[in-house]
Amino acid sequence: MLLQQLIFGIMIAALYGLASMGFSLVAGIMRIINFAHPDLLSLGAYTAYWLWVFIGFDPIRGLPVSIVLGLIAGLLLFNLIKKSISPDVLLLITFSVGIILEEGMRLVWSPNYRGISWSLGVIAFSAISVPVTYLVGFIVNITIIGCLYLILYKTYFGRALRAVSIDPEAAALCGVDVTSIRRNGFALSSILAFVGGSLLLIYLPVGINPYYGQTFLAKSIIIVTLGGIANPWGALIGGVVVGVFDQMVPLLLRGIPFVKEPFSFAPFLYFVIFLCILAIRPQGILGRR
Amino acid sequence: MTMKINPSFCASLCAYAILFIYSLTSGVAKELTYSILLTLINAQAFNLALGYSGLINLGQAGFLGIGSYAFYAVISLLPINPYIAVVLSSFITLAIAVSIGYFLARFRGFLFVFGTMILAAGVPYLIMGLDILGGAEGILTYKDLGPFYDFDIILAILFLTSLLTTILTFIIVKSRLGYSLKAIRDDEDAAATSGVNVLRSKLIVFAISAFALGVAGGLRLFKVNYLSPSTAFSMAFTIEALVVILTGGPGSLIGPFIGTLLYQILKDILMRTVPGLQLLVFGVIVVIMGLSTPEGIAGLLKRIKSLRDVEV
Repeated sequence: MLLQQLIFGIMIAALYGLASMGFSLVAGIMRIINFAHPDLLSLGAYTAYWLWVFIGFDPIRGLPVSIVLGLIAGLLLFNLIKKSISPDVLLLITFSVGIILEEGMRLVWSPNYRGISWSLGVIAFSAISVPVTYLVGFIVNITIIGCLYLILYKTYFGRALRAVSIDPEAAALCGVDVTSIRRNGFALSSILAFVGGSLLLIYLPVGINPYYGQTFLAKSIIIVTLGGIANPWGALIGGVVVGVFDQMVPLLLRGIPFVKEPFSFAPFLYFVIFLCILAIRPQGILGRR
Repeated sequence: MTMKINPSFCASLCAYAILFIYSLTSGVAKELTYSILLTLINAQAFNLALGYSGLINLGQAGFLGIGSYAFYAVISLLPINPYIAVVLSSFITLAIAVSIGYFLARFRGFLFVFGTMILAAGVPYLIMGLDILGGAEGILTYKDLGPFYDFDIILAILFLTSLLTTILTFIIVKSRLGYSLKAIRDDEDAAATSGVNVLRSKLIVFAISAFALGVAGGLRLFKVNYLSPSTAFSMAFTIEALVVILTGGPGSLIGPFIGTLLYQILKDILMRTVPGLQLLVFGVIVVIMGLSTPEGIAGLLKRIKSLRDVEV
């Protein structure tokens, strides 16, 4: 039972990592927090859901569509917010964009949970049984993270992106087109959110509702804080910690007498953990400086 | 030393006078004043943090919720009258805010915002797990505070809180603390090097805004009559403060008034025409205002005035 939870935890962890990497990418290159990021994730999940309902595409085959839609959404959002001058106000704007997306989704698609029942059978080793769909999702997830590594470390775009993240002015002096790198980086982050959302649907049997983004935001924040803001690989490791924690908490809390509902208590623990991280290592567990 | 008349401060005092006279006219006016004052206090607390100190507190709803629960806890546990209870519970809110702020105020930029957001998102779950405070189902507060109160006194307390917040803000801006906050907002490292006590300055702002929110959070229960984690900590209150301040103008004394007036009118219209769409519309307004005029209507008026002065 414990081992099974751990395996699920690691699979979900990889997904959390993928979904939060875009968040921290944008924090690095644009020096803003994109509070709408978790809602882009919900949009990705809805994309996968509707593809499943209308054409019968499973989330994996629907990925190209998600990627294209993510690209479009990212470019639209970037063009909307790039005009803003004040970073404080920009933060409030992305926060409001998140609210708009949530309310828009609620309006169009109702607040009900929507999920898919995609099944390819189960692989079982003695006491542990893992659905094949989970495994497929995990492999795709790892592949995408690998591609991201190649993009960030083996291409000109990736090098420029990291340069902008470290010092935009110095990057500009070296001939990097900062605006275009920011635009493409933002689009990349949005694509990651959409892809993450599509894959998320595999792991959520109850499905998602328009407010999933709010729930995920708290997790995202913990993940990027753990990993050090603006550090995508830190986000991956933060994702692993939070994902495993997520699966383990109900088991751990079960023994404590005051806690009636272990699941409902977990988000409060996030807050406590967050404060502890801040108190001990304000730059994040893996953060520099 | 020459005393210059501050137009924004005078305008605010006039606005209070108008609001006061208006509230005396009828029962309906009193109800409306009540909801205006609640919005106004929410906005002022947000303004004090964002407009004057550059602290973005996206956990507004969290402090309002803590205020409500603190008030309920005090009133149901102690046999004291509700007006004293609200002062007591506001101090409890302040104490909680300062102890959390002690952690948060050291961090700048993203981390501070994160902390306040997680506060608003996390505390409701603590309450859901606690049966004494009603758990996830919530509690009907009517039986605890229904019959004992005098609406005029409630209004007076809210009025005084709001007025005091305005006056305190005015005093702070003109004082050493105000300059410290401005320095911190512009460059925290430079401010700290020049001998500004960064932590203390931030905590004072945090404390004042938490106290005001504690009063508003407690007194709003007289009309809501129902307290649950999802309603008390609703994101809508943070959005409310955002809409009011971004339309009114951050860092301006009169800004919250302008914003509150427009917000209440708009809210009323939306309630009649398209209920359920409010948050969506407010979100769109924040985005439009933030992109086109981040200094708000108050800032716009100032700019127009200074343009005219140049011409003359």
